[in-house]
Amino acid sequence: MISLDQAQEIICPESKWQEVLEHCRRKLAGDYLEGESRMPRAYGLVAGIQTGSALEVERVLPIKKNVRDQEPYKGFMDKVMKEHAVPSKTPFSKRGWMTDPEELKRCYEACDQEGLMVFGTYHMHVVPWKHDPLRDKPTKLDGVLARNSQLFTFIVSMVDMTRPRIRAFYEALEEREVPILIQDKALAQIA
Amino acid sequence: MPRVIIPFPLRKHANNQREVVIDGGSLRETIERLLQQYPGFKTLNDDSVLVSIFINHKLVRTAFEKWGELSLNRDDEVTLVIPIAGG
Repeated sequence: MISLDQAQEIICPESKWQEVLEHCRRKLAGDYLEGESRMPRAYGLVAGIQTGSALEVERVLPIKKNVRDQEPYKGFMDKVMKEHAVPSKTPFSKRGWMTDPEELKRCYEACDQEGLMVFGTYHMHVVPWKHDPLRDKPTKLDGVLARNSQLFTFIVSMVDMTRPRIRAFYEALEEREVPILIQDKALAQIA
Repeated sequence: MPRVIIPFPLRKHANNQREVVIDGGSLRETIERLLQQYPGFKTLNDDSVLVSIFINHKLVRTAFEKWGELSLNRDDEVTLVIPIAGG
């Protein structure tokens, strides 16, 4: 098994990409599930297997609960926002996602049971910026929050909802991008 | 001896093991020995305030300073969960 940071490619079945998109669209439409944080942001985990130097997405796990406003996370997140976030339409106090440890533990256990490893997280960018109109790259803030995570950060650009995009960066570092191959499973088997 | 369940991102520092057995009588002793045995777990030190620990699936809400008072039995399961955050 190679280290995640050595991965050369991420293979994502079309169906999993559609699951991520469905999650993003549902949150943006304000259609919340029971027990889900009521905010128009999608955050989730990406899990799968490693085949040679490729990582294959087998499962995406939407995260329901954001504990960003609960201690001890609030103090940490407020500080990080103040130091690293670029001002935008959304106030600092409403920005950032911190996974609930109990929910995260359940996700880890589910992946362990299925023999999958969690190798990334995903979240969406919605608001275009003058210097970054597509918003399909990690921000400086993303990099700070993903530091030492040893995970890939998948950025889902929903700026143009008719043309969503997804890109993956190790520890949310722009220079550590790994290409994603969206693959139709049926066609891949024929090939 | 208590078993410690390792979170995904840290497994590479423990020979890709899901769990390890650590000889510790208290939670504090167990975590200290874990860090000695697997120095690659430095992330635990960097963000120690935010790391969540479960004993037998129950979230530990006791302050770090009092972890020495939390006794562990030989068949206890300690699970570490490193927080994951995004912008």
